[in-house]
Amino acid sequence: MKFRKGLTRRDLIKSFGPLAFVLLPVARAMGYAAGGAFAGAPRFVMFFIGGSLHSPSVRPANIAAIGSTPLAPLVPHAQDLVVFQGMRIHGGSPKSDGYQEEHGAGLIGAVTGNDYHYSKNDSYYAYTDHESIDIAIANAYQTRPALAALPFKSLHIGAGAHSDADNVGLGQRYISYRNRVAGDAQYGNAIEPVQNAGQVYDQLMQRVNLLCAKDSNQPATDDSELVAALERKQSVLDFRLADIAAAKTALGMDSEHAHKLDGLLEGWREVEKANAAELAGAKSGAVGSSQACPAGAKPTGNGQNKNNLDDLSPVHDQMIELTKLAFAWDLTRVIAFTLSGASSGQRWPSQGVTQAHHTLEHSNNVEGQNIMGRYYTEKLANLLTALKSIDDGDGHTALFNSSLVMGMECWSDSSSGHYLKDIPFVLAGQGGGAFETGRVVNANGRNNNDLLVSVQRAAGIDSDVFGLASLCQGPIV
Amino acid sequence: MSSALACLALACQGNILGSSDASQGPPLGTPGSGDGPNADPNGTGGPTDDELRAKDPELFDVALQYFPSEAAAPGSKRLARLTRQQLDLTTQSLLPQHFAKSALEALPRDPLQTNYEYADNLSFSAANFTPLTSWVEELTAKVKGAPTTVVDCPAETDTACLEGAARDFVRRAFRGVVDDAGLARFGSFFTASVAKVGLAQATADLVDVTLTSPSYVFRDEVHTTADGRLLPAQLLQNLSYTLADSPPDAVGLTAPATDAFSDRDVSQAVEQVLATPAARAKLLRFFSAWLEVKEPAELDLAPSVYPEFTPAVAAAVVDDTRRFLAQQLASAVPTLRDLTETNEALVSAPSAFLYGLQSAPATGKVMLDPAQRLGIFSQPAVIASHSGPTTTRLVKRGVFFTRKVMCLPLCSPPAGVNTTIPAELTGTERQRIESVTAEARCTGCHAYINPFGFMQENYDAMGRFRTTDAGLPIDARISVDFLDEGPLEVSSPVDALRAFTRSLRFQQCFTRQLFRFYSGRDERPEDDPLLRQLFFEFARNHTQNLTLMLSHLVTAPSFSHRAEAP
Repeated sequence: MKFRKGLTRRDLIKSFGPLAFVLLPVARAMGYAAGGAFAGAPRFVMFFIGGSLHSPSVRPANIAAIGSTPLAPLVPHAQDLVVFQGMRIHGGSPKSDGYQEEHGAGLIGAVTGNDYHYSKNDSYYAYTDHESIDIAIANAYQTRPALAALPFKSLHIGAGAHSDADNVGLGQRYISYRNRVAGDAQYGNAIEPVQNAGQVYDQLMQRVNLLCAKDSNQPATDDSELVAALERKQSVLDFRLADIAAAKTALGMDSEHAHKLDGLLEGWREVEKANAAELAGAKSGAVGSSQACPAGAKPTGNGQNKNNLDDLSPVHDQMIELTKLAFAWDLTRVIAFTLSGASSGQRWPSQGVTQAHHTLEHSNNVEGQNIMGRYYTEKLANLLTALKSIDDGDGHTALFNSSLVMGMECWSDSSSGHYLKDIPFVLAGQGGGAFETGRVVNANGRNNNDLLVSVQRAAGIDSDVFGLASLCQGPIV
Repeated sequence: MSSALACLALACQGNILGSSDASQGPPLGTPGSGDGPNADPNGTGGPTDDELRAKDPELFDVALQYFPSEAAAPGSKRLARLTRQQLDLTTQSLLPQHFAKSALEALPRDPLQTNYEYADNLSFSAANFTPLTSWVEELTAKVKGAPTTVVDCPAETDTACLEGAARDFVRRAFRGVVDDAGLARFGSFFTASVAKVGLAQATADLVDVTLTSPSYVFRDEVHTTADGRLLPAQLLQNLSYTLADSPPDAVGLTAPATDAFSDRDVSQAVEQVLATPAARAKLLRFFSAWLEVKEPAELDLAPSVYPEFTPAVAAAVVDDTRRFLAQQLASAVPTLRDLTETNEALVSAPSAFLYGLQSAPATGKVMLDPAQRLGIFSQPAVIASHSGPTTTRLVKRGVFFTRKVMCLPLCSPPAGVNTTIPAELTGTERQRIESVTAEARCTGCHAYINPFGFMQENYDAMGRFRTTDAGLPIDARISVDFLDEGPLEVSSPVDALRAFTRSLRFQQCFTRQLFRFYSGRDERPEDDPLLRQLFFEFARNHTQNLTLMLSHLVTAPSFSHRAEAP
């Protein structure tokens, strides 16, 4: 897809007024946006695997050596990677700042770099009050009008996105958190991913269909019927929102009870946003982009409550394609993708792995762990391939204009180990030009906070702190 | 206190007897506590501690040990989202002609805590919002095709009829928890819609906005009278949903015409609900959740090791247990002993071999060998749910029993302890586990885990009875000293199960589990007075009356009275 240089954002606003922000993604696809749309605002993906890579097996001397490690599937993308050695979560082992070494700490530390609590004396009950990196970046992007106009602030998807310990406590399940507000239940600030590929598809395609070129020989009267239907939908939405407002008033507007209705409210606000976009398009007669609507059938995979990678693999692949769809159409810049919660119960029977990943870790089954590790790195490789296939029109691919973090939690080489040191985090993509890739970086005991600082800086957040300041030294790359 | 319990007290923080820690609420009987006109010192609505003590001092002392806190408090106000099951039964009752697809299928499963749906974890998010609205859309499409099933008026211009019909529908949908202003709002919306888009579309829109309204998908345990008692409509739906996952009218309850809804009215309502099939169905769901009985597709036995455990067998064992539960819980006065101490089971053709039977009888009912089986804990569905994929998973079985059946607290293994079972170890599974859990650092928890696991080794991962493992005789002997009844030494799974399920520790744990499931939360110290009463009456004379326990739970003032959480 080639882009013509031409109309600037200012030109759009002069011509279309506030509608310009709705049209901006359309305009970009048509080649009217000025260059550099992703510089300082790259896409961000937290690609989280619950059963971590077996750290001792992932210690390549240099990037050329990753082929002999569980990172081998990433060899075709070696020049787009930074592989970290010697990185810690929460100061690593032994205990620091009073934190415990266990899976909940690993997961929460990997995504928030911040402190956490236990409601009971067990890692299953860990919880945090602090936002995760994906939410921080999504919130930052919302302060920029062009990015706030994108259909989705962030997407939260997954398959097999649960922990084997969930039926005891939910402390090892979630990778995305917003900042806790008064009235939140213990996991009220956690964000549940959507694990139904068909649902994600519908959500995305509803927006894509507003943007893509459609073959149409329908007379103008169809637009007036469409407009009438959309206006009716808005009228019904107005009633719904008023109903929720009345309920909140009755419960006490700032009460924890009223707060419980926020999920409903946010859902209807999203519907309202989509409806407004469609109505604006129908009224303006905008023809959308010249890009053809995506072909292909709706995916049907559902990754909920599954632990068998033979069953999950097609769903993971579907979610990768949906990530590609979301980014190709610039529907969002932030995606949190959960392939497994911590203390992962996932196994891969067709490859001879019949024990849970968590069990493999604590029984020091290195071969089993590395088979599983290669599964996840292969999925990451598939995602990177997908992003490389998107031409962002600025001389770069979507991978160049993205920052992807392969997140993971503590690893183990024995029953007693819940190691928060030497976590082999992987950064992929150039972050819109922010990162020099194709190398192994020795973190020398620095915390993953510094990696999160790096990605937040690439996203234009001007701060050398993410999470606990005591764990930060500044951007590591 | 036994040495094992003392060791555990050192290893773990928290109350050794397993009560959860939480903030205290204001005790009932104190100003501002929300105490109602039927105040009682313990806030339980039932016998006082002195009365219980007088009936059976020894049992009362045990009850006080397990549930020591003396300060009762009203329940906390909360807005609770309907579970998927509750959405199903509510919608089925409201729109029977149009209900087709279950919410259990349409909406993703909610996160479970200790395998229960806790109110705090039920909310709306991107994961379930669209599935909810899509599910409602399918219903409204059917309503649009037959609007008179919802609004039956002689003419589209009969505004009074239209408004009245809309109000009736919404009032019923919201279970009476709606004021006049709310009804007026929905009524006006509907009549204006009819004028704009016609009756069919307007009716569909009415159903749509009603079924996605907070007043439909949540239930209100917030609004009370001045003395803290839930308003009648709120209390009524709280009763019906707690006991039967159903709206009040589906279980024959109607809100009183006035605000007077006496304790006697409540008792009568409770008795009525508990007798319904819906209430017994919920009791079945409780047992499935408590025992963590998996769905057939989730049973995880490796075909390479257990080729006989086919999908048909998996489906059969789960169905056998569900039918067994349904049968036992259908009696007029179901007891826990009906489940834990019977030799009767329901067996089907695919599962017969697990019991050593050539075939299943026509009725499906068999009396099993009393030397091999006793009650629900020896049924294959329960055993297989905690086994596999390649072994019996002795430790996992033991952990389940420790945590969920006996409510003994467990912590993570101490740092530096090697929990790996070396592959080169030979012998029975018991021998292998014993050899790696013998050191002192392990006994704090394995003093519990191991006996519970060892006692079940006569059942293989599929739940079939066996006498050998790895070619060696199975040793099912256990010796424990953490029961209130004193030391226990038995040598068969049947004797062990009988002793444990008759123990007071088991019965106090059952009390907690039932409370958690039905209340949708963990117990707090201020619940202790009620739990003490529930346990006492449940355990006394081994009555174990399930519906009586539920009745006491929902007739307690802490259920009908609410205050803001501290």
